Amino acid sequence: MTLAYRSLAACSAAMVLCAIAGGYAAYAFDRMTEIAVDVQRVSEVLIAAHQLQLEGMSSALLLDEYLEHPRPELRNALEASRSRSEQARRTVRQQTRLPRVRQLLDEYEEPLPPRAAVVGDMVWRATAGATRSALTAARHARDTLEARAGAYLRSMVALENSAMVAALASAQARRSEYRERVLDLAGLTIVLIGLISLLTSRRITRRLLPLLSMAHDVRQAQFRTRVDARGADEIATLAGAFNQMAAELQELDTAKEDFVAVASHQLRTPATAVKANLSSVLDGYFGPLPPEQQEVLQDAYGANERQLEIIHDLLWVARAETGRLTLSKADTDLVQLLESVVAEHRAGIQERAQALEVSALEAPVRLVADAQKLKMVLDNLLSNASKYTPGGGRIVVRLEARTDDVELIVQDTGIGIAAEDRDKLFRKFSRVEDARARDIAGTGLGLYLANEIVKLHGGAITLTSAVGQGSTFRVSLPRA
Amino acid sequence: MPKVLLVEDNPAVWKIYHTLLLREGYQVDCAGDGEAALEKARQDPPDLVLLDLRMPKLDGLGFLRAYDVKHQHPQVKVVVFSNSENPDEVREATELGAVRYMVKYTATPKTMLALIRELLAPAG
Repeated sequence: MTLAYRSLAACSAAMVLCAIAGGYAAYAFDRMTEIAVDVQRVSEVLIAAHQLQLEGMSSALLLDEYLEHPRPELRNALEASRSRSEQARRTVRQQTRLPRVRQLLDEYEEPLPPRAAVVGDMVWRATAGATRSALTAARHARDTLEARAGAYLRSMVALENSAMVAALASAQARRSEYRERVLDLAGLTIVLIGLISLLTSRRITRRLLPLLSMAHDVRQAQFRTRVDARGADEIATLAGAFNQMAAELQELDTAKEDFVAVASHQLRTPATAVKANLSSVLDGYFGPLPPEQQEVLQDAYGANERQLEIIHDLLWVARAETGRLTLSKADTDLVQLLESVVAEHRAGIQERAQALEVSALEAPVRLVADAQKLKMVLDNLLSNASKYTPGGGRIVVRLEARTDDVELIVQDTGIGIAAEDRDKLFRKFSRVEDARARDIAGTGLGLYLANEIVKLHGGAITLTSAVGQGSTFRVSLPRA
Repeated sequence: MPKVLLVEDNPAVWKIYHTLLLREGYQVDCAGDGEAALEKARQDPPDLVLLDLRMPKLDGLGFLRAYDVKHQHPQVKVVVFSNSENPDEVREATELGAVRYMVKYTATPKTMLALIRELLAPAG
């Protein structure tokens, strides 16, 4: 599955969660609306029941007034009250959900025709001018009937009232319940979406890390790293492209190093011939030289030596770069190796008026190592120490043998190396600015090569230095 | 006087060594490749061969093998004189009977002549 599909799936999952939360919120809203409608219905019933009570009382009062003063507008008002009562009864019957209320309404309505007859009789008598005592008897009969009706109405009102209270309580309870559930669901959705995006991004990041480390290697000119390019998604495609790019870079690099190797070999042959011829003249095989000629030829010889040195370094670097720098290890005595290198440098160091202090060990220090290449390392460190130390300075060479490792130490009181230059020091063609400024000869390859050789031995070169005070290079080589 | 066979394809190198070896009083013969060297060495075995490795036709190791220094000419001292520092070549040359292996770009005529004098000094 490609990353695009995977992100799409993650997005869809998040959207489904959102939809569930939203759906539930809509459902809760509908339920709450239903409850509100129900509450409204119950309150309508309650209002109607109250109105019935009110109309009962007002019709009684209107009737009494009419009996005293039979005016036609009072009759009209009585008719209007009765019709409002009818309307309210219809409302109660239609809207109530309580069977008992409907039953009470039946019981209330049952005596309505006799009550109407009584009232009609009373109205007729009043219109006809009946005696006061007859009216009083009629009023009494009506009052008895009205009292029974009033009792039914009060029960109805009481019942609807409790229904109202219950509806409101349940609405309140449901409201809290829905509110909590909606909030829970929203929270859960947020957490799940967060989790989904976190996992998706972590998945991507984890797979990008090897690519990042490979890019770092390529930047350091290490083209041999490859990453896992299995799979069919975009990162796998990218990894494949990275591998291909590294392979092509490696090929180019090998071609470049091969060219350097061939060119250096070709350059070395004539440079060697120059050396043989110049040194035979300088060594006096063709008679003594006038001092001026001697000096000129000496300069030429020095330049030729530099040329050979560069060719030497270039060839070794080409070997290191193409993986052809291999060790041929044998049992080696480091004390002897150190002494032989020191012996080669002793004359030069004395010529520069530098003090040389060697504190090797008495007993041989044995190590399985490539003597020729370790010699190159030590040779480089010692010639650097001498080159970068002014006349009158001191160079200390020390060998420390421990249980796990052996340390070759070359210390000088030279110009030192600034902190910002230390990282560059072991890179190809890197030279410290100060050395360039002082016009000290060097290819910028020696330390790179020394470091590669020591790394092949499983060891490391460490450096401590202070500008103007000197440098200490420690070559640590593991014993096993 | 001891006979030295100088096997070297670069004129700028063999000419100077030829001159210096003559001045030292040796009998000197020169060859520009392995085949020519083999022919000369078979006709007139030298006391010492100064042998380059990289040469046309037959290279230095080929000469050592064909001349079979180790078994047939153990009295002939062969000094390999090459710019190659390849440890395999050094080992092979030694196994084929070379007595010394000199790296050309570090050696000077002075050191070379001193070595030849030492190798050709009468025993005892």
